[in-house]
Amino acid sequence: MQEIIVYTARAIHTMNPSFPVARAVAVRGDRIIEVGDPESLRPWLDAHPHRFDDRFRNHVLMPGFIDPHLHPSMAALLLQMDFITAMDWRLPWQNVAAVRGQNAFLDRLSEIESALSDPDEPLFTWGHHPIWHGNIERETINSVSRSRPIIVWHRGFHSLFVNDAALSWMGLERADIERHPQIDAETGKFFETGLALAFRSINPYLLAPERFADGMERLRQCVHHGGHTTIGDMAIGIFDFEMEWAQQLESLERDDTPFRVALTPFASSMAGGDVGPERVDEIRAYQARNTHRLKFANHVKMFADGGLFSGLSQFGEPGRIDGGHGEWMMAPEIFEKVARLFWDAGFQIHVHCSAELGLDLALDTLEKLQWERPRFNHRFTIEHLGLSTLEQVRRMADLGALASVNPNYIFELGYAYWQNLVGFERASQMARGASLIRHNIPTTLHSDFTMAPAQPLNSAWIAANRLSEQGSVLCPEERLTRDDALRAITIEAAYILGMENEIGSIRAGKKADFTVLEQDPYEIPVADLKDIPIWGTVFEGRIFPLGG
Amino acid sequence: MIPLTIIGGYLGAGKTTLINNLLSAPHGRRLAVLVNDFGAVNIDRDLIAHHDGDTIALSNGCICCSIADAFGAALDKVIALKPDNIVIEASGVADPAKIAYYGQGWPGVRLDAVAVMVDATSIRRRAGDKYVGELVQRQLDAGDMLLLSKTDLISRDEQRTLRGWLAARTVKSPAVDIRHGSAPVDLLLETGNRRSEAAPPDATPDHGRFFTSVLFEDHRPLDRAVFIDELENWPDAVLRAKGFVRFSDDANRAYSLQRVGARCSLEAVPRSDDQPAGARIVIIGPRDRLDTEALSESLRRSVAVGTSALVRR
Repeated sequence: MQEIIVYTARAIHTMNPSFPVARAVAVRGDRIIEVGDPESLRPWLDAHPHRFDDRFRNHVLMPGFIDPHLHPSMAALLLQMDFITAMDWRLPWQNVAAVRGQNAFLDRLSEIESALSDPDEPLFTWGHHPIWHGNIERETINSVSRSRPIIVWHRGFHSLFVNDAALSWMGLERADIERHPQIDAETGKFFETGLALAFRSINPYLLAPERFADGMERLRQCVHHGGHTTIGDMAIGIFDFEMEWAQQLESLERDDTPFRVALTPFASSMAGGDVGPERVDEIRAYQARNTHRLKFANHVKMFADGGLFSGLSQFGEPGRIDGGHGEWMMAPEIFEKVARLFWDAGFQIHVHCSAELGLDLALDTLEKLQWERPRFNHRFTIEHLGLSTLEQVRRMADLGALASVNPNYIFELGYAYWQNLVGFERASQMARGASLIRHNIPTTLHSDFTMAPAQPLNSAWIAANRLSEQGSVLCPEERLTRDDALRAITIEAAYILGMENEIGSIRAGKKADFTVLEQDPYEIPVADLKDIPIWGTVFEGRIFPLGG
Repeated sequence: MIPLTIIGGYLGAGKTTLINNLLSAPHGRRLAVLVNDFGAVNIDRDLIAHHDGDTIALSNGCICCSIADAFGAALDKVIALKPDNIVIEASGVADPAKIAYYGQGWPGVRLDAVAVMVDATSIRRRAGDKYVGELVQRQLDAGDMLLLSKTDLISRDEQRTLRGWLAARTVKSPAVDIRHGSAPVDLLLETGNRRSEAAPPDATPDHGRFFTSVLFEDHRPLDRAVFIDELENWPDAVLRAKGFVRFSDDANRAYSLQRVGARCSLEAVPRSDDQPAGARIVIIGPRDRLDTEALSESLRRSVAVGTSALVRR
């Protein structure tokens, strides 16, 4: 039998409220044998060969962080691009310093452009935001380069600007774009259905095997650097199920990958069509593919309304300031039918809900299903929880729904929704926190990466502080406590993925997954949570320092 | 550019039946139809020539292609096959106006018609539904024409109430009954306006019962300003109008007229043998409401000089 290794640390926050803090953890192979202090561990240590390892004596151990909802395939696309952003971004291979102002944006773009050796290689940049960078239009981008295709992607993903070289690279005639109602030929802006015309050329390029593999490798590094030991791919198959599966198998199922992936397929498809019972069998059969790190389980992803970033959410009364309308990702009748199919098959259903009416649809459906065929421990999960009412929170509790919240809406969209879409009262209460805890709703936080940085401490920081990008505090009443915010990126996240018996806290019998921190998140000011340096991780008993 | 027809409408309104009928009707045109879900399309097995993953080729030259998750790719795929017309089945929760943007901007195609199917038995309830009411109303607004299905399942009183309700809407699209999910091909699709392209006569009895198609001809050119003014005031019973006209200010050039619902285009076209000396226009509309006398009168007013010699056939 392998020898037991006892790691001692400055503090071990177990996230087990009945045994909250320890100084030592005994690990054998990939499992935790016991948590406590060197004295309390004696019975195990006296009985088995062991050694002490004090390399973490100045560090703080947490359970390995878990982000239960992000999108590796989208990340693999985005991470191929050069970031020019209004906020600092810490990427494993680069610290991207904030760039603000139009001139600074163009200077940075020129710098990136001149560093490229191949004169024909298209340049993709992500992070442009008119609030911070002004308008970066066709002629402006032409001034950076007339010959190299340059694509400037909006930070929120719902539009892009290109130069003339990019138009010809995309094979588009001037006449095509001039007649398109959602492409502005003058400014080079593509939006909504116009984007489909851009993706026609962009997707095959970025999804080409070598580039996609390169993007997935970058995703692998980002996940490690965020301190994760488990992530949830909450919609594998965004571009192409088999292609994404094959790439994850190749890029992530490797001995040196320090995390596992819980894979959740679409109940039907991205397009939200109808399916029959054969789809249940098909999804169950995915589990036969499970490997050490990549795992399917009885989980499916469904969609209620359109996203908050694209402005296509379904709002409740009194709607939007501008009178605009949202979209249903699935027809409500089909939503109910497909949900019933998987509910009756015993699945855990995760529903993307952006605004009040979308949430109503999910809860009306859940109530109906509960009436028809009551289930305990069904873990029906509301994903994102953008806009909601307190009455809906109470109803979630009544029906046993769980919450997986994207707190980045507060930081990134709070101000814009306040000013332009729904006003202060509703915008400030986006992405709830404290009210969910008050109703005993298991609550986790996610990044929805690429929608927010894949950094659980950043998610916890937003949820505990509720600062908008512009610096306003939005609804301090909904702030999570420090402890709830940290539970949300560990044990509660494990619960929502149905993996709480294996991961999420540091206790005897669980996987030896730790995130190793340079500072104690229970000692520093809550305002500094996101800045705690991460030393590295321990995944199933193996040590993975960052940059190591 | 290939004309694109969009079939919209909420779930259960009869889009799939309409598409099934379009695919199998003996119209002699090579249609490419994009559908959301193959499962629902029930193509006669004898008609299937070839089935390959997301495409079904029919022995009559039509193809049916599943959109799956990649609308643009599916569209490009059928454009490459150079069909006579492309028909898109919009999803039940899509706003057809958005799909119409593709017709207005995707290389190789141009928007012909947006036909929105309306389930006469449920539309008013749906239009007030908490979840889809607003969507269903937008769908009604997006149609160049509304095709009312299942009117035989409601009483005459209910039909009158429904007509009144549709007429009272702020955005009006002409509404017409159809039976058994079938409407004339000439109504749904731009079928060319050359005589040589004349399709086989439409023998479907329901079509004759509900629709009429009238030809107006005059050997003299029209007055441009008067005609354009008249066009704008044609009744909403004109579901589709197509043909050639010449104007007195430019009588050497023929213009192709294409009007679907209230949307209209007049484009100068290259010379060809079958262009009339004056005007030749085919108008399709509901048999019970198309006022052919008023339309004759309207065209008579448009003739540039002299008295009318309009021939009605």
